Amino acid sequence: MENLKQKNFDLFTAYLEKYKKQKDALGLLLHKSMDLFSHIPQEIQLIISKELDVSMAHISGVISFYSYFSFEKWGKNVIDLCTGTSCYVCDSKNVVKKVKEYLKIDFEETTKDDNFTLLSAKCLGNCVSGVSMRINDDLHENVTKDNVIEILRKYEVKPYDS
Amino acid sequence: MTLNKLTEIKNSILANKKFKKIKNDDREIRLILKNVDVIDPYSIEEYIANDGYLAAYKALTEMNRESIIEEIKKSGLRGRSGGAFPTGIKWSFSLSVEADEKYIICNADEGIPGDFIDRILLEKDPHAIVEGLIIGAIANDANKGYFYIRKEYLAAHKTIEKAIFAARKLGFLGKNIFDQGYDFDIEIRIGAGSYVCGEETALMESIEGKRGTSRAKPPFPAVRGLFGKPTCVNNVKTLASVTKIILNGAESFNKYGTENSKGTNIFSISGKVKKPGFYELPLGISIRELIFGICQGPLAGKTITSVLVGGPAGGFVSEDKWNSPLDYDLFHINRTMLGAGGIVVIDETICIVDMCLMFLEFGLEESCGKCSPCRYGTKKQIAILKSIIEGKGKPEDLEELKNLSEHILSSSLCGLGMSTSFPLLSALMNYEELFIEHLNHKCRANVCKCGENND
Ligand SMILES: Cc1cc2nc3c(=O)[nH]c(=O)nc-3n(C[C@H](O)[C@H](O)[C@H](O)COP(=O)(O)O)c2cc1C
Ligand code: FES
Repeated sequence: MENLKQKNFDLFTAYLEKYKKQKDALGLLLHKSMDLFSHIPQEIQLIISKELDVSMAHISGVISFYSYFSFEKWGKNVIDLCTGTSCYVCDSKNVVKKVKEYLKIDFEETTKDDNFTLLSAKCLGNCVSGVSMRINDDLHENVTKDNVIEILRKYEVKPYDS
Repeated sequence: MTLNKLTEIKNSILANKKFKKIKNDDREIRLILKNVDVIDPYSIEEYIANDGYLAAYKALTEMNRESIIEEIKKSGLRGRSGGAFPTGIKWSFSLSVEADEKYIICNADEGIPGDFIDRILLEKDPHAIVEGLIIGAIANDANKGYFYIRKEYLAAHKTIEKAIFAARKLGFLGKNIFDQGYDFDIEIRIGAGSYVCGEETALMESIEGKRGTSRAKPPFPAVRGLFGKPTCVNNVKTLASVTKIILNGAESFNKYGTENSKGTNIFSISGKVKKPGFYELPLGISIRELIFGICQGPLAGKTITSVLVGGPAGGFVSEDKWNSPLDYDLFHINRTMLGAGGIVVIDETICIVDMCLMFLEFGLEESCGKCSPCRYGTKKQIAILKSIIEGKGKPEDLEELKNLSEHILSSSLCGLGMSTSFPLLSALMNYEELFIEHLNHKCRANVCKCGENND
């Protein structure tokens, strides 16, 4: 049994209460699990399976389909780095390269210290000021290969290259 | 809620506040964007002060399903999602379908990178879309509506949620709306990062709590859609336009635009121009006027080499076609769809061949995997294009790419597979010399490592 925080677990079950046997609520519940636990733990999948009366296979199929649902626990800070068309034109390729090298991870991966998870966003709707990068709820614009590390540092406990 | 109540709210706001007109450029005609950056999006009262909810009230009290649909037909409004399907005709399908439940969905999945007008409207004039959805519901005889908003648009989740809450509180949503005996309410569903979920049938699967794979059509959503019931899906901009058309009449809209493309359109321009941004302009404006006039041309010392219209489902428009009008007939000249109005401008620092690869990779990553032309075909295209970019291409590769593209285009299940090849095909058509240069180990923009000694 995974060690989920009791408070968050209670919040989840309270939320689930509204949607019992409502199969189409699966997406809502998966979003809730991501918000509370930064992933969709097996234990939560089992509860959802039972309460919505959907199979575990169906649930994993849905989780694996969407990029904002994850089986693996995400880091403390989630980076949405835009690789959309306008940001591509603003040199997102080199920003991506820089970030991957610095954090030593690829897209959809989490740093060893669980501090960052790197996701590739396909447009944040902020195309006029690309490259756009969102970390948690903060939108950073005009990100370049030269200023991106400085931005990441603000979210670090201790610098990665020291 | 009577007309008096709306007037009362309006007058009480206007007694204390004067709303100014805002434009990003003098040449703009702000019909749909009228409230944007003018009103507080969190204030339903300020929306009402600008004639908000008067159109929905009118639709319920002075009009019926037929006359609403007639007015929308007369306006010439075509779906602003990019599909350009005439909205009035789409709505008229519902007239002949009987069912115990019908749905209407606002498609706020705006998945095309470079398009951001839906976001602007959702965040800055949310009530205009809620009102459009109410009018659409009345016309389609739907009692329940959904907003499907992409995950990435965090701010829009809040504005729409607050707008629905405020509208419900004033009796514009829920049971017996506007005290006119009609029930209609809206729920919000948030996407989870999948481009194909913007496609209407995949979107419905997603709302049903499933993987977002497209359904084969027919049956069309108007007959069997969400939860198997008749469903109408409309884009954010379409619904915002509906509100204004019902409020001010079809002529206020169709006096702008061209023969086949009526009204104004909101263009979002990004990339290598001096003044990128969003502008509401009559359909039919030329690319040249938009890019060199309104957006003030290239960055200092640079030259614009191409204009990408319609994102990953659109194409590169070369200079010889920049005088052609931006409207829904653009396809006939350039095999490029106007799409939802997103335009990305590029200059000599960008390699079109590499950009095509980026689009194919996008298409593959976002493919739902259900049909093989899209899933395998795109993979094959990528392999060929990669070898060209790495300087290992053969002359016959270009023909192979064209054939493959045509094949995928004609045999894919949904619009995603059908459109993934558009950028590549348009580049091969308009900029073939760039591909040939890569075969000869040269990349003008100095982006690709296709030199001879790269192994
Ligand atoms: C791959 C694909 C992605 C799509 N994405 C969107 C989208 O993000 N937003 C949207 O409004 N329509 C999108 N559409 C079009 C929808 O299927 C549908 O036609 C549209 O919502 C109808 O709206 P309209 O009639 O108001 O234009 C997409 C279509 C395809 C094939
Ligand atoms: S393409 Fe990056 S924000 Fe739109």
